[in-house]
Amino acid sequence: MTPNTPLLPGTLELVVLQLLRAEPTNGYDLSLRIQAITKDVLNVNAGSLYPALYRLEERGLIKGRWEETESGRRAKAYSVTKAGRKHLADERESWERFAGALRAILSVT
Amino acid sequence: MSFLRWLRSPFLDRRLERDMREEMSRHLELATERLIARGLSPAEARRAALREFGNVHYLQEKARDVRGARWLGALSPDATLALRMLVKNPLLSLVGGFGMAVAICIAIGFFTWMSFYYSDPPIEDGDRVVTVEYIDGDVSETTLFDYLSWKGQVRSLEELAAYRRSRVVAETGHGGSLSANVVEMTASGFRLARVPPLLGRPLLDGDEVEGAAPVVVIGFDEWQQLFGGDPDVLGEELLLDGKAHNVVGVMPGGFRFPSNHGLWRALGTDVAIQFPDYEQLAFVFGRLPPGVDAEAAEAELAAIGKRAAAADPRNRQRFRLVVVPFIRHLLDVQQYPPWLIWLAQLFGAMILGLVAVNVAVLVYARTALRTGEITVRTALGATRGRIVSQLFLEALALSLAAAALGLLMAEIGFRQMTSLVDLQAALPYWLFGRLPAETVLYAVGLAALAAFIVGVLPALQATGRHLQSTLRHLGGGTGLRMGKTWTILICVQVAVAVGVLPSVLGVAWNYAPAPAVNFPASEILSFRAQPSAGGSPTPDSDYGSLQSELLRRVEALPGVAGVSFASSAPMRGRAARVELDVVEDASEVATPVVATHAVDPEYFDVLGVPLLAGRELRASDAAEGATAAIVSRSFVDQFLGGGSALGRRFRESTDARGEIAADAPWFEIVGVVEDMLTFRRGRPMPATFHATAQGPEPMSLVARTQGIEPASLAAPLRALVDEIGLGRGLNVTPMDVLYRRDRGELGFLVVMVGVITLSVLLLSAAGISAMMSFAVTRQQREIGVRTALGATRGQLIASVFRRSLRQLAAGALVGAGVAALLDQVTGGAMLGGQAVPLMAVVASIMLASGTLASLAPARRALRLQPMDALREE
Repeated sequence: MTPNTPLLPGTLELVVLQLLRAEPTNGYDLSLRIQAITKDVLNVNAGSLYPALYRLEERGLIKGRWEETESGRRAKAYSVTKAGRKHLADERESWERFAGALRAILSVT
Repeated sequence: MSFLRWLRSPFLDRRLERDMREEMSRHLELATERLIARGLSPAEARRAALREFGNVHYLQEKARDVRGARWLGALSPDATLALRMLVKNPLLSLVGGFGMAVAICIAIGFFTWMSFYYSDPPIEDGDRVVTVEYIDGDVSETTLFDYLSWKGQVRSLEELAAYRRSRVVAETGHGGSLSANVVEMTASGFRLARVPPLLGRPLLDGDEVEGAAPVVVIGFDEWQQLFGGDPDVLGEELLLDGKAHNVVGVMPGGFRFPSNHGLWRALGTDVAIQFPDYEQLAFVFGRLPPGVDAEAAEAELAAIGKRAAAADPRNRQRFRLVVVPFIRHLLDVQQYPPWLIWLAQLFGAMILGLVAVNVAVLVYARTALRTGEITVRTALGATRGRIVSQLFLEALALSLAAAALGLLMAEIGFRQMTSLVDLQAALPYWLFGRLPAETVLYAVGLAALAAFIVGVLPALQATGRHLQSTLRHLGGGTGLRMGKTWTILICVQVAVAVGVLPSVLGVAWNYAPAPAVNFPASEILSFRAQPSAGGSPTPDSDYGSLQSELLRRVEALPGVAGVSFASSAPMRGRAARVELDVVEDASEVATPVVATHAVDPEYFDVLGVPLLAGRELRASDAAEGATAAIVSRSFVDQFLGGGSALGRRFRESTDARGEIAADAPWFEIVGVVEDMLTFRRGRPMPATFHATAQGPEPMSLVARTQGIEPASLAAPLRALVDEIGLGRGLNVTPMDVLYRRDRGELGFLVVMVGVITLSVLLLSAAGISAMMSFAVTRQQREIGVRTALGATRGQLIASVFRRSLRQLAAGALVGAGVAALLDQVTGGAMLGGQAVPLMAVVASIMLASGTLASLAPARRALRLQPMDALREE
């Protein structure tokens, strides 16, 4: 099993927004999905995930709603709001710029 | 966050809190299910899920912190805890809460007073309505003549208007009658108000013309009371002091412009035209047009006034023309010197400060004792912010309750105050009823501020850096230090209590109500015979015989034992300055002021006021040039040092300014009568009495009854005055009612001052006792160690009390100095010779509460085994 890699500061919100935009879901599924997509490289524990969700909700970037899951359980599903989509676009852009710059530096031999 | 959302947040956040818990438990369930699906036993799966999830409570704390500004509702468990803490500490809650309530009540009082001072009449553009006044010193000297000279010329004021007020008896033809405030106002006053009448019309310019039919516009309440709300009231006749007026309009409810009036009649300005030098005092007002300020209006009016001065014989050089907001002349604020207002404000601020500090001390001391709890909570993951907000919430629960109580007290006080009859006639109508709505917001603001002072400040100190050391010493001592600040606070606290409270108590005590009535007030009826307004003056010769007839016929009424007259109602004489033939000690009486009365020689007999020395007045004393006079006991006590008065001479001022004319006649004292009222400690107003053969106009009569209720004479008396043609019988009041009214007003003030002072005293005592108890508790360890080192009990007790007493005594000394200074400045008026006992009482209360509070912890410390003390160390 690959050891867990800590998230870079500030990136958790980007991760959450991006995944919720792709598909609205609850906190538990979200944590599983992060693990699955990153092949267990990123493991976001509940202690970070929920505060991040509440922070985003507080800022009006996502919205939570109680729904029934496929298994018939009640769960709070989050979806990205309009403001959240705009924020995600901005954040993505600045992240890609940053990553591009970093790649450029790392490709220097 | 928007204000609305903030308001909603307590409800919103309770839901969020519930959501959060449910969400996390669902997370755990799902994780457990997944692990069971992977083959783990349910118990193992649950444990693994919990491990994976982390500390649920810690997580919830963290999540709540994220919610940030939504603390209020998110803390609902804390709110419950806060309320529980209030109940758990009933003494602190009661004392602190009551103290804060009194302080908030006082603050609301000042706030309301100030808001009155800046209030505008509730009419369109009311903020631009101003009063124009000629001021001589503090007295308004504006007359109708001034109004006429400005009217028609002034450009910087719209709708210049004038009014005069008086109290009349209004009677309908169908038996309805009431004593009401009537205003004589120019029609322009109605145009300025821009309030349409409910029925009929307002006053019109035509009503002011000489010879116009007398008309009256009535207020809604008067319409209801006099005419039972009859829709066909227009054209009905209303007698105002006996003169018939036609009702031409009814104003809507709530409209009592300009001051507090329910009957409006036209102000005939023809009198002023005919007699420009006639002192027709009036209030003149108008509205500033947009863009014109008071200075511009002042300049223009002064210029017009100067041109008109040629026709006006009064010496205007002394007058100052002012254009001020409308409310100013109604509240008559000019009569208070500014320093008095500042002093009152200072007193209020001081009480507030004192209360806040005391409650802070109480809360601090309690917070200090809860350091253990705070430490444990911190160790469990609560952030400093959460702890502070918890303590803030506790303080807020207390201060909000206090604010509610303070508001209630203010509301009751306000109602009491505005129900006083004299105030009702004087206060503008828009200040009545309930407290202004903004006072509620103000009170809530004060509560938040108080909660900050008493909750957050101690909490910040309690959760400061020394927490780490407390963690190490968990369970031993309180861990908080009493800084120098608190020691100084103890001293200041005692000093203020000893220095100021006795003065306030002294004032309340000296002027306390319940004076002794030295004549049978319950048997006496007082009333006034006033010539009808507008009626032709009665020729002097006739007046005397009419009066004799009235006296004779009143005396003949069944149940009347005697009747007499004077220039004014008993205890209501004209104020005059007096000059004595020989002044015993100039410093003793700086301003010898008396209430002077012209009385029928039989006056004292009828009233039943005992003669103490000399002789009574005789009919011959009423002759022209007679010099005999009678003075009251307090005159002798205050001006003549209690010595022999008979044969001594004095003279009096006759004008309103209190100047004694060079040729004023000298009077010889031939008798001394008892004071009608004597106060427990306060001095009664000295009085002088001169004989008069004929009652002046208007004349005040007293009738002594026997075997009947004095009030039952009211109707026959009015009828008699009317029948004989002496005008109207007014203010028919039993003397004890008059006296009770006076006492009620005084009593209200004294009770207010007393309640405030006593609660501050109580709070100070509680504060001192909390401080002392806390300080000694902190010394427990030291005491234990010293016991181990061989100190005797005596030495230890002495050391504990020496420290406490030093602080208390220092405060008491400073306070005594302040009190002595205050007493000196006020010439002994404040403490009324009771300085020493009053200060001793307050100082004893402070010392006793401080010492008693030290007792329990000191005894605990002495019982402590030295080994235990050392172990703690």
